[in-house]
Amino acid sequence: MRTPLVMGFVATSMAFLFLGVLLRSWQVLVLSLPPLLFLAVGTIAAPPRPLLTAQRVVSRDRLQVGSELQIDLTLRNDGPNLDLLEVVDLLPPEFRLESGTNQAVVPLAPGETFAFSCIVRPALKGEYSLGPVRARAIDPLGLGAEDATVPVTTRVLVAPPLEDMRHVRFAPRRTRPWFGQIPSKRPGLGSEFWAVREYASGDELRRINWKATARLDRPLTNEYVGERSGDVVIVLDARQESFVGTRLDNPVEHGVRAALGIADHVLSARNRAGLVVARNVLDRVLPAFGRKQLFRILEALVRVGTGGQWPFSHVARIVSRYFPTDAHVVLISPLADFTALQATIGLKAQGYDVLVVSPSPLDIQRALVPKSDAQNLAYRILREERANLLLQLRRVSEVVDWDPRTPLALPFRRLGRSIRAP
Amino acid sequence: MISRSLRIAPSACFGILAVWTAYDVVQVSSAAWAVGLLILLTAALITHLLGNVFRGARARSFGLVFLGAAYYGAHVAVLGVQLVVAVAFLTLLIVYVELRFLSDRFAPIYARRLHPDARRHVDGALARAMLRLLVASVLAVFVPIFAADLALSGLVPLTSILTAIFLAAGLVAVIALLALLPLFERRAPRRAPPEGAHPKG
Repeated sequence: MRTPLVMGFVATSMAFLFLGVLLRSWQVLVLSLPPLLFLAVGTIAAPPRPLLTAQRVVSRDRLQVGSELQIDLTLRNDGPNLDLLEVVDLLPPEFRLESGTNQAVVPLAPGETFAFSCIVRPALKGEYSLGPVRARAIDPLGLGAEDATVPVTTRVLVAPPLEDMRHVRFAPRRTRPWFGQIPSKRPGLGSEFWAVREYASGDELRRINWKATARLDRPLTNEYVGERSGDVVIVLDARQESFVGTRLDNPVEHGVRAALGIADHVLSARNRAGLVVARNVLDRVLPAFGRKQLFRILEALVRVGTGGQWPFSHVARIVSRYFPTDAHVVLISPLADFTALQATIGLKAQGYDVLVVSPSPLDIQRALVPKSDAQNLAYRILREERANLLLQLRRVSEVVDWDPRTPLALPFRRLGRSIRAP
Repeated sequence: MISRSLRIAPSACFGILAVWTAYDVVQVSSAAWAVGLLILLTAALITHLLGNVFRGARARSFGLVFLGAAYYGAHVAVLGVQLVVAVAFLTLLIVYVELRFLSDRFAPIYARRLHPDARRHVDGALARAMLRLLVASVLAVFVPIFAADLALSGLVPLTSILTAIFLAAGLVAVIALLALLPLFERRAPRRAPPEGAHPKG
């Protein structure tokens, strides 16, 4: 393949040739030779088509946004000698190069290998494919090039950052029969004292209240509050309307972060957690316990992209179809329109406890527009509108108004006792 | 250090060419020609600067064309063409293009921290490319001078009809070869690629 430089040299040579003939000047005529000599040198050593094999090794295939990933690439030349090989390991644009290189220009003899490595840092969650490797054998004078692609790809899963929710006391209000960590207002297995009752045959000896037994001269047994677990359904609003801002900084991405933090918190307290994502398609993860469920939710959240036009008010119907009515619904939405209010009312009407977590889009939006009086006025109007909507929502559910620049635990703590376990 | 040198080299080369052209344009005695050539030179500098700022290869090419036009305009129209100097200027012009090509490829790689083995490979590639450029430059300067010398000393009569026909035929052959080269490459039989390598079609 010829490069545009060849045409430039030919044109220069022709120009001097015609000018020399026109002016009848042999000196000008001779000037047509240097570009032709460069062309001749380039043509003698034209680059061959590269035949390469490549192997990529990554330090890990699952990582968190902002953590480091080392990529090692080894190339072997299975073809003819390559004077100059330009090679690029294609990385997603979301991966920021920290050190090393993902491209090189090297000579490669037949059978020779070349290895290079780089450390990258992903800036956005997602499921990424590293590669393919693009190679171009070039003439050192830039007059010819031959391209090849080595289809070696590696899948990497980048998880959103996990919010620290350790000191948040959020738990579903209503419990299920399974053993858990939530005091259930019923006697049973647990550690918190509930009452004293008459000894019944089969009671454990360690549960006998010896002081009360001695005082009243009849056997009495301590009863404890039964600790159970509940269900939490996280509903994430990832519709097109909810997207405000940039790819890295938008309410949907912050919502994904919140959903993962809440899921981790709920599951580590031995509750069941499920997920519904409203986007182009309806993603759902049915409720289950444990670490595996966290990974299922994580896999679903990693694939979340903004899109879809379906009405958010239908979410109540979807939730009631797939999830039990005593589940606690956590609705994560930037509340870009009033459909979230309808959705919350719909869920309450179905009998669900609802908590609305709203990553505020106002400051994200504000940062995108240059500051002016009109912008300030618009910001104030939008803030009032949002405050009004939150006020209406607070009549039917608990609301966490979250500024995504702060940790999620902060507004949860501010919410106080109202969402704590009863 | 190497990265910075590679980035500076093309601009330094262009600077030398611009100063050289400006020096020759100033020698032009005719005011009309001098103004016209100075306008060309200024256009060359502006387009080159814009090309560098906005990373526009086309603007840089235009800058180069304007610079060449200013230099050769001055010599062809007023000052007269001195073969050795004119060939040296043209070769330097081509060297600038080649340095730009190498700078675009190598400078970003040297700017990164490389493993010593990788660094050795890249050094080898750069040395090889520079050697090729040096060889081509030396040939581009000496072959035309040698050809002119041969012609002037009467060993090869340049002004005969026969040499004119040979020269024209040679140029047509070179141009035809360049035009047909991709066709020959496509027809040439290729070895089957090993597993894992997929040349682009």
